[in-house]
Amino acid sequence: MKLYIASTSSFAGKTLLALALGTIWREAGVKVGYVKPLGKIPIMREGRLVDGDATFLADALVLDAPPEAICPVVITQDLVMAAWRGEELHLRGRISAAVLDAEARSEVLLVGGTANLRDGIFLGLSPLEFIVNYDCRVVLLDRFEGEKSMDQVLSAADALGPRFLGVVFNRVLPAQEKFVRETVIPFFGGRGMRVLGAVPSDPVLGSVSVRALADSLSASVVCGGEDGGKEMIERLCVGAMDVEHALRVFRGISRKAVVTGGYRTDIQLAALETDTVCLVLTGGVAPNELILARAREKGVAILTVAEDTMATVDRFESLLGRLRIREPEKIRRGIDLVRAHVDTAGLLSLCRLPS
Amino acid sequence: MLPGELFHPGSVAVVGATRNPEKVGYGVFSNLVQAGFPGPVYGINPGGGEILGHRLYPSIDAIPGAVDLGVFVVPPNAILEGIPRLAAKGMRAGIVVSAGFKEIGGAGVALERALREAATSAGVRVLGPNCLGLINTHASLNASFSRGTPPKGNISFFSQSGALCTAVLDWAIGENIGFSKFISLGNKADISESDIMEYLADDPDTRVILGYVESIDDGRRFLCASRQVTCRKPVILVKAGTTAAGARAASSHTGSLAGSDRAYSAAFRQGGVLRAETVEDLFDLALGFSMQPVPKGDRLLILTNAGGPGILAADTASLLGIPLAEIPESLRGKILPKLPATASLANPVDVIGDARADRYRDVLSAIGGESSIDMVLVLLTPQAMTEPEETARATVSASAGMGIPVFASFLGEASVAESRRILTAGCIPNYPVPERAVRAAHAMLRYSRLRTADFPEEGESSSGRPPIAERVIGEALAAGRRTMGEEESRGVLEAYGFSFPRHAFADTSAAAVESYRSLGAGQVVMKIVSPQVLHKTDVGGVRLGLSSEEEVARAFVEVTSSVRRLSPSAWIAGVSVQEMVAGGRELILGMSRDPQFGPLLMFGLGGIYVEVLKDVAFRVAPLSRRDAEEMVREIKSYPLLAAYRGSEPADEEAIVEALRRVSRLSCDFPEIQELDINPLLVLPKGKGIRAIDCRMTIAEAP
Repeated sequence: MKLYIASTSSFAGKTLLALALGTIWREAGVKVGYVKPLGKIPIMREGRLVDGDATFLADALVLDAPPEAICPVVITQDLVMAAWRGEELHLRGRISAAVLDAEARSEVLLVGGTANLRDGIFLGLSPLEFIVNYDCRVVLLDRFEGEKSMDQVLSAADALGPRFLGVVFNRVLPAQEKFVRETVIPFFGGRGMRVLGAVPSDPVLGSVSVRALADSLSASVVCGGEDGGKEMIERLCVGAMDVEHALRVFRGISRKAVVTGGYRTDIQLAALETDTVCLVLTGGVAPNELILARAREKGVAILTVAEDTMATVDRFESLLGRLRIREPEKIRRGIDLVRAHVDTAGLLSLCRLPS
Repeated sequence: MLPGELFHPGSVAVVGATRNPEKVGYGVFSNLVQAGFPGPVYGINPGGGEILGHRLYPSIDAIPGAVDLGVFVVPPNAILEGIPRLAAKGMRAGIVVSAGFKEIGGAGVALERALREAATSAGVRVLGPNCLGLINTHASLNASFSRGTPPKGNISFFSQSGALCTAVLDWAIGENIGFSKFISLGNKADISESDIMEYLADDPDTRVILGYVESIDDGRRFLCASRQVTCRKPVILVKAGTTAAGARAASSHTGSLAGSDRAYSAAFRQGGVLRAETVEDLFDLALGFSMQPVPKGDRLLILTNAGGPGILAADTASLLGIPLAEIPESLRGKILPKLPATASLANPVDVIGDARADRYRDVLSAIGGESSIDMVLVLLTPQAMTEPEETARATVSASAGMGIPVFASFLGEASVAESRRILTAGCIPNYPVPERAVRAAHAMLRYSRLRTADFPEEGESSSGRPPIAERVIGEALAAGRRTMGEEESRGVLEAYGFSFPRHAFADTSAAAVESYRSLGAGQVVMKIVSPQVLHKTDVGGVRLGLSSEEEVARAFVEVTSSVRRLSPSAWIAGVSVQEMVAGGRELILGMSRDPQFGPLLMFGLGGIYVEVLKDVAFRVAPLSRRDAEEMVREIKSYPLLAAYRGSEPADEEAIVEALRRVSRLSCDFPEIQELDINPLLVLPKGKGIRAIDCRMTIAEAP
């Protein structure tokens, strides 16, 4: 029996939920497996192209399977170009083999979905088609954002039909908790839909402090360490693009750290114009006076590291970014949050119900 | 060209003269009278009356005679009204002392524009506004509100700061240093430093030109003027505001390194201007140039009565690359009998502590006519037997007619005060410490080399914009682009004779392998091609030294995956597979457009040399051949380009050529705001250069 973990947008918390469900259900004596049909975070590991998310989960859940069995398709430039040219991609066979193999070894197979129910259609890998073909149950994750969430969840539920088991709201702000409890959950109940959990926004889980970042990067703190570096960073951006592009990207991302070359004054200024917590300047180059003055004025921390941007990002990613729950402490905390706020037992029995 | 009446008027009118000694209008009038201006001085004040025995005229129209020079000490509107009226009385030049113009912003800016227009339409050149005024000691003209008038001399000084004018004036009076002209530039609404320099170049009463500048509005004009002036007279400038750099956001290496101060330094150097770091420096150099001839060679003789100061002087000389003169046998023979056995006849020549004036006199008179000595520095420390005054007199008389520059440093204060006055009166520049004397000598030496060097020919004139470059830039601008990456910039640079390694574009790993085969190169480089990724290495978008099909195929996956992951929103076109150039040294060559001076070219060795050590040279385009050669040799890492540890010397000629090509490109295309060719590989001598990566920032030409 397969549980597809879907989400309405990126960074909803699919990896965390998969990790938590896998851990909690195993504790209950269930054999849990994991497969991710399409990986979108290509990284090289021991000379092989693998998916960053899938390998993390494989490690954390101690899945004894080769990477291609856990994530049979990792997106590459070659794959995308072949899709553009209308070539036959032969992906379904690979996916099918991986799913059947994993299913055979588990009682509950968790399937890691893409960012939303559309991602992958271009490559001939429609998430909805997958869910139907493999007869999956679906739990939907949504980063709670008020009525925008409602549109997304209702639309997804409609598309999924009876396979939709329920929704888990993630990163619910303290101010929203009462509203979710008193208004949102009854709203869904009134429509015969389950809210399986509302996980509160967690400062430790969702971010990293400037101090922790500086420590882990062996960076020197040029400014902004005054408050003990307690400011929290939620996202990472690499400033390697041109300024206009950078500004566009930067505007869309709040509470971020921007990693860029020390001489990229333009990118640094663009970052300071937007919601940035910290600048990480690479190449051992100190910020110029203007940047320093503006950063102080805006209360933005500046760290400098001797390494180049690439190396810095590699280290950064182990801490934050797309894969932010990499530290053991955060993994534990994440699992505890799910345990406390999601009806995992209920979800398990729903999964076990015959279709 | 400035009208001669500005400095040599036959008559002067002071609009706003007043009997109230608290007012600037009184100060100006009284300075004119007290400096003994021989022609008529007309004071204008609506109240009429009398000032210092002169009648005050109620209006300009009431002035009985013609007026050459008008000095305005009234509110702005009265000046605008007064200019045409005085012009009607023959005024050719005006000095606007009053403030309340551009410096107050807002309405002041408009008033300053109106002032300039009023002057232009009346055919009058105007100094100021917001200035101290002007002094010409040779015409007994003090048309300023300064305190006192300096003695007559051959140093001329212009300043953008009135306060500094006052300070220099006070120094001149206190030290009894002769000055020719004092010009306070104020806001420079009309007359600029370039106008003044051009005038002073022709002025027979000026031997050395000093200046203090904060900003130069027309950089090209300044460069042109300074080239004309400095081959005739030394120009020494202090430039303030050296740390204001970096206030401009810049999106390239060159841009971030090329602060405005770099542009000033480059322009000063190219214009032959000596830059003084401090006001003290300025005075030190001024004394030397004003009092002594320019040295014809660099061999320095140091004469001293104590070891310590001699060593300090020798150290400084060595640091600045000034060789100490060998003492020839002939000279040795002449002075040996006159010195005690313990004296040192090496250089520094130490006549030892008990030397009276006669030993100095003997050595100095023996030096006269020695062809192996180009400069002399006389050091004196007051000791028990020392005769400072007599030694000063001996120095003055022996150096007269010697034909080579003589500098002095009489150390101490109380016991050498009188001897200093003797030296100054005798035209021997004296410095409180030997190091400063040597630095002054060094500046004069630099000037003498600069003047005797071939005048740099102007940068080549443009042969027109190459159609390919025109098209590439035109299309990018039409598409609203501001930056052009390697793929687009390449065509522009190729049109200017740059060569790139052979390359092929590939959008899949199979195509990359195909490109690798068709290039037939042993080793290739792979780079991401994405319009949004300008700094390719930052996102893992570059792989070097790929030498098999497997490596190429794998690199394609790695490079594209890395960019996809680290720059998720960038559109990836594919990769460029390029022949790997071996055996070259990495350079960076760039251009950033300076608002005052235009294209500012930068050159340096790539990697840490530019990023960490900031070891780069700058020049303003157009570059002469000499400018380009100097740029290459100026960087500290230059020895790495010459033969180094058995490696072949780099193709310096090709670098010079490349610099001149970028110079031409920047002049031909004002659309290019910034340009980086980084890295630019220079191969061994005779094998040329290859541009490896490049990018440009463009904007519609103004």
